[in-house]
Amino acid sequence: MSAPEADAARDNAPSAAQLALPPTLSRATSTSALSVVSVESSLQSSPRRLLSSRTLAALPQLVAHDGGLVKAAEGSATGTPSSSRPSSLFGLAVGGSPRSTPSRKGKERALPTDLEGGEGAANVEVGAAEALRRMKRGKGGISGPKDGGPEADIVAYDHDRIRNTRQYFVLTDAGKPVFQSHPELNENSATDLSGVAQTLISIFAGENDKIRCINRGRHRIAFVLRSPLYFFCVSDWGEPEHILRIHLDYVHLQILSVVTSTQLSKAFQRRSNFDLSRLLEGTENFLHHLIEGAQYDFNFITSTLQPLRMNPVLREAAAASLIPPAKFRDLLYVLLIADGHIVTLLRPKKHSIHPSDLHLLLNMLASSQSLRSTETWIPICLPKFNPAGFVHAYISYVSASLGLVFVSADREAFEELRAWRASVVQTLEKEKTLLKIEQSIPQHSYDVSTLACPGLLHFIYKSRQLVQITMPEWAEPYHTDGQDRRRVITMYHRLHDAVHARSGQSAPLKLMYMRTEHEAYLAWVTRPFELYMTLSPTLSKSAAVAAANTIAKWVAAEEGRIFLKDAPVF
Amino acid sequence: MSRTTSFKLVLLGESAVGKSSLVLRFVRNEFSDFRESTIGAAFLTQTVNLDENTAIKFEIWDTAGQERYKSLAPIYFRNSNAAVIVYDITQPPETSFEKAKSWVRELQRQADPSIVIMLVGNKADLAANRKTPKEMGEQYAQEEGLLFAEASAKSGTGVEELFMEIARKLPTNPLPQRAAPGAKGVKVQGQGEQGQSACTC
Ligand SMILES: Nc1nc2c(ncn2[C@@H]2O[C@H](COP(=O)(O)OP(=O)(O)O)[C@@H](O)[C@H]2O)c(=O)[nH]1
Ligand SMILES: [Mg+2]
Repeated sequence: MSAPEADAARDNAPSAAQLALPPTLSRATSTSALSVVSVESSLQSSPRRLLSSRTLAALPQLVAHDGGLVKAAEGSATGTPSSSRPSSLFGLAVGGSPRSTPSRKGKERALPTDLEGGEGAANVEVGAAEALRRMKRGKGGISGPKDGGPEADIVAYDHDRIRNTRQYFVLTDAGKPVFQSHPELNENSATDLSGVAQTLISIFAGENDKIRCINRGRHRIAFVLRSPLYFFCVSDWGEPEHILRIHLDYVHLQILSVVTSTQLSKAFQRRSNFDLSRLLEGTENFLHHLIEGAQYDFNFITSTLQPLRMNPVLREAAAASLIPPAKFRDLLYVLLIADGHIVTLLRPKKHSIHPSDLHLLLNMLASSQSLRSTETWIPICLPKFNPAGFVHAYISYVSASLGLVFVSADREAFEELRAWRASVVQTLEKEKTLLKIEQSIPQHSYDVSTLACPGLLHFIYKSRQLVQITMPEWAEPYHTDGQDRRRVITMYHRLHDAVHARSGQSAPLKLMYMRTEHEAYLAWVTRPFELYMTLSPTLSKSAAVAAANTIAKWVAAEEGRIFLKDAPVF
Repeated sequence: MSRTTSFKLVLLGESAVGKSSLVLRFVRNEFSDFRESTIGAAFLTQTVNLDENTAIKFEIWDTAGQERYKSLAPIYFRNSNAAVIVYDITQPPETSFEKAKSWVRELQRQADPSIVIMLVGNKADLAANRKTPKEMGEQYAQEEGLLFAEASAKSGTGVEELFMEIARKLPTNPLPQRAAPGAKGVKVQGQGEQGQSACTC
């Protein structure tokens, strides 16, 4: 490919097509200067590429031009980022989102007032109530929920006290409420809201279509339909639609982890108005915890893990003690967890483990205090492994923060796993491994100042190869979960959306720079990594570029501690 | 030196009747008004001394009792020597007491016929709000040949005693793992004191 992209990169004007931001977003963040630079993968052949140092040749490098423009250069890039993904590494299946059926995409669409057309166009500025009214007018045959006034219901979201709280809902395809994340924030009952949602959904279903998203003022309502369950989320954060849909997919997976797809469909075959909340009894906590974790999340969105940052030699020693005896035929995964982070993860040669299955497992561990004080044997469905059945997790904490998890396909394996655990702990204790891991926990998080990079406020680095991320602690003013952190994570989400062309943008980008009155942001996608940065808005572009290169170098040097590599298989 | 024999014990019953609370009172002498509901099944052990020479180690399965795990219940009770079936006396009998009865029937069908079954009416500290009369439990237990007790995990009343009563009913050497086919749910009555081959620990 040739010049046009480079030209586009030189053009400093905001490009709506590439950003695909709903108009409301620029208002919400009061963007003072928004400049976008897009560079596509063809730039590998750019004559301006500067890879002088031999030692750095393997590392992608960003180069600043005289004019302050930014270009990406990559050592040996072939193909676009999305096409060069490895399919699996150390057993982590690679996938952007937890969705199991990407092929459905073409059939889903937004409201009929769709401006751009085509499968990617999702954003429509129509009030939900207005949309509902229009549709009811257009299709006289379809009736609303029994007890009147659905138009009034969604308007209730405008209430002040619920601003900035994303709300998540689960209902059955018969319109029965199953779960609601913040019942206390709604004047309308879950039954009423579910009724409205079900009406909207069924209007589309009547046309063999699927509703995906409604945008109304600051609010966005995203839908995910996984019969017999429907999911929707209301948000005013300004994130791209796909972020909310990933959250909803996770809510779905969380429910499946408790009630398998087989149990679900059986229950609903027997009775279409089945009360699912009864089957979920005792696990509401898991859903709340999952949703809470999703708010400032980048792991779900990128399907990545963030292991404990620690000495790789110690990690290897732990893994060596956890190699199971050959006789455990049905053993699937062996995990050592420290303070919610993975220390090591062992798996059989024949099975990989999908990050979303791991997230569900970690979410369960984090949501339950009582797991810390007893040994537990839990049937859990790992939907990416097998949505139709349970596997069994033996969970036992060796200290308040260190937990062992053995996952087996054999429901009778408790006794043998328990016996094995005793010998594992003995080995780990003998070599003081447990103690040393315990001591690594406080060293896990790091400050952005560690990188000694003036003007760098925060970053997220994703190793595409290892499917893992690293990021510093949220420092002031992002340390509390207030509007500052919300703004930054939402920008990351939008950058992620834009560079991967998730909202129907014409092509993925390799590089994107944005500046608002608060911060400047840079996203940089190379073959080995993706980098998302938050910078001081006063920082020059060349300094931003220098910061990007500093991070890449720092991670390359720290990689052994930050990431989990070469975990044994058995 | 005392001889310790291990026995498996399973707790069954509707969720929130206080199974976990009873176990934690027995094992750790703890109680909390805000107990997370159990997921899957928790495994705990506690050793009690029957007399100077005999100790009994209980290996306890505290099950979740939720409907979705119903089909997995046999994993826990199939090899059990004893079962504690719990209901909540502050609930009307058609709820948790009825559920307890259905667990009894399930054990009579599927468990080892020599299993010792103890029916427990929990939350006795709330007797003022009682909805299931004590006589109802007593009578049912007698008809079916079960042990019976009321207890309170909260106050601790009756908890240790109920486990001790079970301990005394267990043979001091482990039961054979599998039942003879066709043996019907006759309850343990005066098990002989055999006590060879028990493990000395
Ligand atoms: N007043 C009172 N409350 C109890 C008693 N036992 C348990 N509870 C409470 O009942 C609820 C359910 O107890 P839990 O042990 O989790 O029941 P499980 O689901 O059967 O294991 C908890 O809030 C306990 O605090 C008791 O003896 N008296
Ligand atoms: Mg319990």
